[in-house]
Amino acid sequence: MSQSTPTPAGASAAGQTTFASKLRAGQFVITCELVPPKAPDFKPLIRRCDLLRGHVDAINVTDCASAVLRMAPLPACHCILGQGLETILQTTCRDRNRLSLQADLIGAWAMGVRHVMALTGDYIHLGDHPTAKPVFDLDSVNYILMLAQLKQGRFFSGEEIRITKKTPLIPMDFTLGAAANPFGVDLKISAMHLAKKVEAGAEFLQTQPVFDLDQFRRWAKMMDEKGLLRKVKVLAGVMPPRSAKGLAFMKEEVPGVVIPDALIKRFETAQDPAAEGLKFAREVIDVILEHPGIAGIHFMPVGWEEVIPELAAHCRDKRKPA
Amino acid sequence: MFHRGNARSWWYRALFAAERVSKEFIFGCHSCGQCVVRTTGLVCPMQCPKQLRNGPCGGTQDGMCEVFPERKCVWVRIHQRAEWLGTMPELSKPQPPVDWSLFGTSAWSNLFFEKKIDSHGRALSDSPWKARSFEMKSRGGDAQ
Repeated sequence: MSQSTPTPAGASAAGQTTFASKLRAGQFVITCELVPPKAPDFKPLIRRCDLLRGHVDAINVTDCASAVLRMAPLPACHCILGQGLETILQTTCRDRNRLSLQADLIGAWAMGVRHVMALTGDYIHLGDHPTAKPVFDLDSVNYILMLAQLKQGRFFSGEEIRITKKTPLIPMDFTLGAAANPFGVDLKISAMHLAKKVEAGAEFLQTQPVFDLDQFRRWAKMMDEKGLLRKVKVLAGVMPPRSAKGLAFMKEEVPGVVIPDALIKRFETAQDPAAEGLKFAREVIDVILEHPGIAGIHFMPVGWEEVIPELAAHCRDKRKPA
Repeated sequence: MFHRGNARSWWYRALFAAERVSKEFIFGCHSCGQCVVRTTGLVCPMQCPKQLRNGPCGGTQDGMCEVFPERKCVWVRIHQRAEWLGTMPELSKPQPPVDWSLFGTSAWSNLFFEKKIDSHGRALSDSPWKARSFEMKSRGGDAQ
């Protein structure tokens, strides 16, 4: 990647990335989440990029997920872009105010990051620095509104984005993503919040991992009825579970993740939990792709990236590109 | 947060004290200085640990708060009360970002004397609250 001119990985002649053009064309997309390392070294990221290359359309880089300290998402994105993969920069309002968010976004655009996901962020008490001061200057809806304004070439303050007064306007035309939680809260409340996010300018939604299949079906039906599936691309979250212990930990510690007790029992009694995890992930993908309105799959492997190529192939078999 | 009202004249501090005592008791007021309780079914959304004014976060579990699992999510209460009080149409509009320079000031003074906000907590056009122009412009744009 050249230092002076941003050249996003996979950008077409029109300047649009492969992920964004596929998304806008309504083609099936697969994204995968990578957690940056908790050490000043890019090697673990590069190893996992090698595993995922060619199997996913873009890689989400988390921003200190669950408020646990990690490498910042922006340098991690820089590393992944250097590996020739497209990235989705996740940024939370937990640690940054409107000044800091925009400062990061300026750097992100200059670096070649073209997709941003706006999140509120998990609360600080869950992580490894529970005594830190949480920020929450903007909420996710207002953060998306701010990003929509950056797309038009203006900062939050209203000032135009230019190098000098005489140079042309530089709209930071990010593809905007937001999070959706189909579980946890009443569907009517969820619908109103998501409608606000879509109205603000979110182009795609990535959901929490799906474990409760019935609830996901109800949520997808609600999204369809409210007309939201036509306005926004939904990428449903899939997490291949590895063990009953891991599931129980997720249920207790990770906010917004709903895991039925029956599923934990199923993994407790399984002979080979890893094989069972793969089988379950395939079942989840089948249920998600039953719904024609779902635009793609978002994998959250949490360190088990080895299985993603296999699961991605399964998704593509189920949903052949138009 | 620093209570900016404490650096003002004696009558302002008296008004602010009266507002804080009464509104904290009735709505769970957090003195944000831009009161939205008329929109949010008379429940103060600043009671949310993340101080969200547009809806619940993704951490809500079974309608309970992520930070205080024994407490109902403020947004669940807001929706129940807003439905009952008939303020749902106003609630479904995006709320502008919080103006933190008004935090710790008297919303009554901002509304009646200083004319900084309207009765739904939104900035009035002549206020230096740039968020208003920000909201108008960005919503007219390419949000399909």
